[in-house]
Amino acid sequence: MRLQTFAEALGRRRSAVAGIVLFCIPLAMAIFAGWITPFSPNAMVGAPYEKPGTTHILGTDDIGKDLFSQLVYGSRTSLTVGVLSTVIAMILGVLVGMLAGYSGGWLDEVLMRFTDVVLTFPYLIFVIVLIAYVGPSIWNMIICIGVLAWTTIARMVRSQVLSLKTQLYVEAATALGATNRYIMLRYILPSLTVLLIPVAVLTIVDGILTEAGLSFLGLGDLTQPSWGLILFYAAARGGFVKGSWWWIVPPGLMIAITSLGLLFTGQALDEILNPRKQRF
Amino acid sequence: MPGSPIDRFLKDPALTEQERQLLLRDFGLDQPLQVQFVLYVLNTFHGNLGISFRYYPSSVMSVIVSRIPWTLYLLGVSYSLSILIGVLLGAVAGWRRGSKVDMSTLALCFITRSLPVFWFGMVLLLIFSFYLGMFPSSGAETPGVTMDLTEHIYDVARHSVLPMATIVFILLGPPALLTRNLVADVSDEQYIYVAKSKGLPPRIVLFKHALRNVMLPISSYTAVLLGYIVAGALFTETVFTWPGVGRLTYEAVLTRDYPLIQGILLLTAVSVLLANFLVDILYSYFDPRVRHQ
Repeated sequence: MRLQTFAEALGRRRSAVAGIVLFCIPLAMAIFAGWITPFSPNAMVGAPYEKPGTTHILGTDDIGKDLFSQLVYGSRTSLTVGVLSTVIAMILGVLVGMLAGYSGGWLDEVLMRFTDVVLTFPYLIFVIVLIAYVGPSIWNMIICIGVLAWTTIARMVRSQVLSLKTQLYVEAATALGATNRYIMLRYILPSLTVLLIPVAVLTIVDGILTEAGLSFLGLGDLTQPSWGLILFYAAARGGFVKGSWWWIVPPGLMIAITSLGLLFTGQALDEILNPRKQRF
Repeated sequence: MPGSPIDRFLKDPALTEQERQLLLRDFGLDQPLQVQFVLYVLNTFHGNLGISFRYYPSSVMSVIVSRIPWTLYLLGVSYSLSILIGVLLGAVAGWRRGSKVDMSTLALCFITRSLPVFWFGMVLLLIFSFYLGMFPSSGAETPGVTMDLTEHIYDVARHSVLPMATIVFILLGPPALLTRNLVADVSDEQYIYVAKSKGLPPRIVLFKHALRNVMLPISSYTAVLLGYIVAGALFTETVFTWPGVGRLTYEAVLTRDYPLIQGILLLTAVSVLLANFLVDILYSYFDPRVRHQ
């Protein structure tokens, strides 16, 4: 599909436009954080428990850090963890799925049973325990989320490879003497990408939500501002006792805006790239 | 923050050297790792999950069992409610595609998918507990008050409104969306036209003809939801300090109570598997074709 027709197809969908606009909010925050807010998110710049005002738009927390700055810089953590964990999950998922689907036989059997085992464990509990063992940091979060989120991708890739494998053009390539590796890289992988792009967008949403959850539990990186971390401190240090809605409501709204933006975009991408897929 | 179980004991300044060695021996932590592992597996098969570090000298099993009723109550009610409401909402939405009900159901699905559970719980807490004072903010019952049975039931019910509302709201989306799409698909089938042209009221056609055929995939999907609810329980119980297994998991992780973490992981995996198995059996009850194969 040419880029221009693709862009036009996106522009015709109201949900896609809304999604992209929503997603641009955290993206702009992440890129232009230093321009948007004058305060450093980790510096004590005001009195403790300040209410929203002209200097501190969303007030300050219990030790006088600017909450709006934390919100703005927090977008960096969320987006980084979401995107990078998705990269890991995609690489693992595609690798396992393609190997299983293309080779078949005992390798397929072993890989898919292993996938089943990982799927059986409730994903989030597994991530939490894993993080508790390796220790909280941004990179550990990225790796832990990534190495546990690949299972559904692997399953999908495998079933897709199974059906692509029987296509005539693959058969033709085999007849011409193409090696397995060549067929996988040149024929199967490109056909998979259209299917995988929307899935990747949805996996980012899961990554962002998981990061927020981990940080809320105090298992995230305590040195980096993050939306989940703001909520962790709000719950632990008297956000409720003082009824500070400005401390509790904005981080969740940011998470919701980011996820909604990605969900809408992913849905639209899926409809454009895979028009014939049956949707449930 | 992370650390081996041995560090946990060695670094406690309140212990004398002798007590330290004694504790290490009692927990079997002086053995090499492979011996510890074999012991763990053997004990597990005997139903012995070890002794909790934090609740010493209680056994892991007794600690977990004491929390199970609260979690079963919270999850049981909210799980059934969310499936019931989700399916009804989805059925009406799919039956009248493009209507206002349909659009709001879709919006609801998207919104619940994009919100963190714990944040939704916190906002409910802020509004209904802090600002309006309608419901208590934490726990499952008022401590230190003697109550007769009806008062006690009322007290627990008041405490469970907000946590249940949180789980129901967050879990509502997937079953609603699935039902909507399935009902929308089915509503073009011939037998639906026949039922309609027989002059049956639309409500009967929807609930007795369309929804009935759709119940099969939905019932197998309820097993998938079980995976979600485990995470939902952990966050909801943490936000509302509910004395269940979810909060216990969180506490165990924070206090590095390794035997307890292992025990909870094992029991969670086993119960999710069991529940899946139950759903499979139920499926064959709903669909006789599966039984005959």
